Amino acid sequence: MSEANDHRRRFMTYCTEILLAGLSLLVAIPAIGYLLAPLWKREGAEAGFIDMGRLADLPIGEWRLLALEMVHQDGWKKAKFRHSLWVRRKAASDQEVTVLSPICPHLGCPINWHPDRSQFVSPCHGGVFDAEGRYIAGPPPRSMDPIEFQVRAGRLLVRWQEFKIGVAQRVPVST
Amino acid sequence: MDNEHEQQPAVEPKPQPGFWESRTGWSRLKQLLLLEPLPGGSRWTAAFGSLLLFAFTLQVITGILLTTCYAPSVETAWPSVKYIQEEVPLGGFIRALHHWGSSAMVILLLFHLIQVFVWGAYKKPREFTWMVGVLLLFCVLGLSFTGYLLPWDQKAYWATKVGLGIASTTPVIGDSIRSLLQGGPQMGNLTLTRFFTIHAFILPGLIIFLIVVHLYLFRLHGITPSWWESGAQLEAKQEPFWPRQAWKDGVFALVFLLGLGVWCYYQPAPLEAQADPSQPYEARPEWYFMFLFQLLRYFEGPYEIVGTFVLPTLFFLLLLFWPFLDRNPQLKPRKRPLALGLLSGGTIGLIGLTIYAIATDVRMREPAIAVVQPPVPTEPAGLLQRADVAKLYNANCAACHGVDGSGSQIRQGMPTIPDFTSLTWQMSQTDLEITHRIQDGNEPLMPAYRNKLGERQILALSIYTRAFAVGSGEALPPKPVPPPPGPVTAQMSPVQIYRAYCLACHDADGRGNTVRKAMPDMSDFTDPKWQASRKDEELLHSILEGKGKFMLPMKDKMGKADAEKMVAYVRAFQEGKQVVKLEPQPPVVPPAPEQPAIIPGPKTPSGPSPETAARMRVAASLYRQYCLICHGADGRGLELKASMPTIQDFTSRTWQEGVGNPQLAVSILDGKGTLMPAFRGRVGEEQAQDLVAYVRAFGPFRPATSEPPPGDFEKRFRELQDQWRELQRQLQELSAPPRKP
Ligand code: HEM
Ligand code: FES
Repeated sequence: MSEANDHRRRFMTYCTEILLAGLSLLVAIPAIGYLLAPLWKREGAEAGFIDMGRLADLPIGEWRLLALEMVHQDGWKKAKFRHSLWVRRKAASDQEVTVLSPICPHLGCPINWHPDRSQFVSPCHGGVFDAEGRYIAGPPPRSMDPIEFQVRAGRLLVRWQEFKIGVAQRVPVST
Repeated sequence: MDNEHEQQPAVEPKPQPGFWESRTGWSRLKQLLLLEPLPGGSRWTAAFGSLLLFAFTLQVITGILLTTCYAPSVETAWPSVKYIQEEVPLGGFIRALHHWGSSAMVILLLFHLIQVFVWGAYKKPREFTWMVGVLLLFCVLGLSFTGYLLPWDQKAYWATKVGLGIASTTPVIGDSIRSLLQGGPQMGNLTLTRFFTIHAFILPGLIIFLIVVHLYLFRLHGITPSWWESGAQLEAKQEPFWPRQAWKDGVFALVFLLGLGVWCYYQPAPLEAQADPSQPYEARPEWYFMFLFQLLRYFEGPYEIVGTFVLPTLFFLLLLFWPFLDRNPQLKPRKRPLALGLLSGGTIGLIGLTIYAIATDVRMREPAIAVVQPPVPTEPAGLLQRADVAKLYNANCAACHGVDGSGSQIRQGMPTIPDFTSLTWQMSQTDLEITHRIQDGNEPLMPAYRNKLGERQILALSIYTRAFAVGSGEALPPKPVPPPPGPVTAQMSPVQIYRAYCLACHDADGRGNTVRKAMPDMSDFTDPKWQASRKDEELLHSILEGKGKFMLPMKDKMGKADAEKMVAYVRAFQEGKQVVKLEPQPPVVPPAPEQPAIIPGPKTPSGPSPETAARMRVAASLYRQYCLICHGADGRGLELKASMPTIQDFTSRTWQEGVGNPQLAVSILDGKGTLMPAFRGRVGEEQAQDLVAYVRAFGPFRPATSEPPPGDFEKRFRELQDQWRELQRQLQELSAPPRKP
């Protein structure tokens, strides 16, 4: 092969490589943009308060796991989701209510209340919290997460919120 | 690797294979795929095949992307495609690429086929290459057919229905084929899942396999030389695929991609209304099947099978076995008149038929396009049961209005949401208004249901809405009515306002002595020093925004003008110049405009005697005068709960059960604790008894003595009940099955 030929060949190779790279990019950019859609999505509206029922129906001084049902946009459909919350009424007054998320701040297992030990225990890796949800022992990095609530018209209203798990700070996760 | 090992001990030490090379041997793959010499060298005409490969790859990529958001089932297919189309960033574009890309593939395939036909590329020894190509063509048509159904819109549904009908005309096994494809006796979920499996897994897999075979055979036999070139010329031009042919392929692909991209940018993939078997529709296949569609018109009755089965099968077989039918070894087109005559005849016939079919196709009705025109609401035929209405409500309305109709769960974020359980609200709305709201919505908060629900359903829902306040089996028991939003004092005179909102604490003489024990900060309006120390603006502000722990903000009850009047009214108390006339003298009929402010909560048992009725009216007005300001229109005392934590909730069963009537009367007359003032002197003993009954009526049980609050209210309530019955009757009529006596 002559020198000139060789040169042309190398130039051709170079051009072709650029062409094919450009072609792949043209296909890849929209494709990746589409795949990354979940990262683009603006934050959903802040969840409102959800009625959990009459406060008076709760026994005083006992932890109860209450279920709440909320509706959010799930892809192409509005869907109902059920979550649960630990709720305790300390005294007859409206304000003395504690609402805790049952999601373990370690890795997200559902935390159980052990009335005999008066402790919350996470069943997965043995995280232990006291009767106020404060961290006592085990791997969880922080205490149980309190949930915002209101008492209106004698009814308990809560605003469901999830928090980042595995970290010491309490960082809300946008829904 | 073996080669390299053998060569190692040779004279000149070859450069060590690199990291990748020694582990993957990729240079051999490169040698095989890219550097094998092509007889005849690179050429533009060979780029068509690669372009097809590129187009297919594009379909696979966009298809996989679509699959991330696509859910094949009757309920979800259409909404998910619509979601891709409208919500997912770039979704509409990716979908358009996939949609138009499939059409482009069909066109490219046709080009490719014509090209290899003209070049005689199917002749010995390349028969199998051709046959695999024909199989590929039919696999792609299969992809188009199965993909067409996936969006589950009207055209998808009906075209597939017709397509399956055609498949079922196959002799002997036709019905089995249809059942197999359909997955059941009817088109539905199983059809979608099957079509999706065929479309996204089976056929692409098969195609990839066939492409590999196709390319292997192509490489094996080399490119078919152009008829004007000699063998020696070919030898001379021989060169590897890389880089020249790759360059030509790349240029083609780029042009194709840009063209398709621009097209898709301006032309979104159509999406019609969601499939609805009950809606008439004039089914049309995708344009490249239109020739078949047209063909069917020429064969009717018993001959239909000629169009649906015989001709297509013959066509397929002819195409598939063509290399063995055309034994003429010549490559020059002039020497193959029969073959080229057939090709041109066939192509022109096909294209002509397609154009003719599209041009003469008259649709009686235009298809509804989803994006422009939302789906026609469908209503189940037959009886509309109460349970159906409840379901409708729960599915469409409960998310915001709550299953109990109170809207309380989202009032926080949406303060204007109405409370269906409130009679005030109910009275403020005519049936027409409610239906209109449901139909046309009130953007941005209340969506319009015109296109989601049918008329009957909307009427039923408006009746259902009524039911929250007027005794109904399902809705929760009606609740006491909270005061309506907005200024309610509009037509009240200052005296009336003072009586309604101020008197309970500030007293008839403006001194506020009654409650001073409990509220030491209570102002004395008669005190000139106090009057001098307050500017008008300050008073206005206190009235509108509230002050201290106990003075409630009035801004939701009165406008600024009214508040200014009240400032003047307060000034007039100075030095005891003004005393408000008390009005517990029976029978007191409350001024009408006051009505909406304080519709008392308790509901009515039946049949009160006229005497009790009168007494209860007095009690209601007393309550309004003295009690409402703290205990609230609904008896719950919510507004002052924060500053008076011990205030009782009259609606609480526990509280009602735990306190006796005499005890209540004593509290009313002599006060209770530090905050509840004594009303002796303003309220007589008998009136205190009536107030007790009134308070009882807030409770969950309704004592027989309690009595409907003021007359107008009662009348409206009756009217509403009648309306409700009338509507229910209408509903029954609407949904009654045609009964023959
Ligand atoms: C040569 C290959 C292919 C052709 C010719 C083809 C053709 C089609 C057609 C005509 C449609 C209907 C588009 C519309 O009108 O909306 C469609 C839809 C669809 N295809 Fe393909 N397809 C191919 C490959 C694939 C592959 C490989 C996948 C997945 C791995 C895939 C996934 C889908 C999906 C999920 C839909 C439904 C979404 C929609 O209709 O917008 N396709 N395809
Ligand atoms: S998840 Fe709770 S301890 Fe690990």
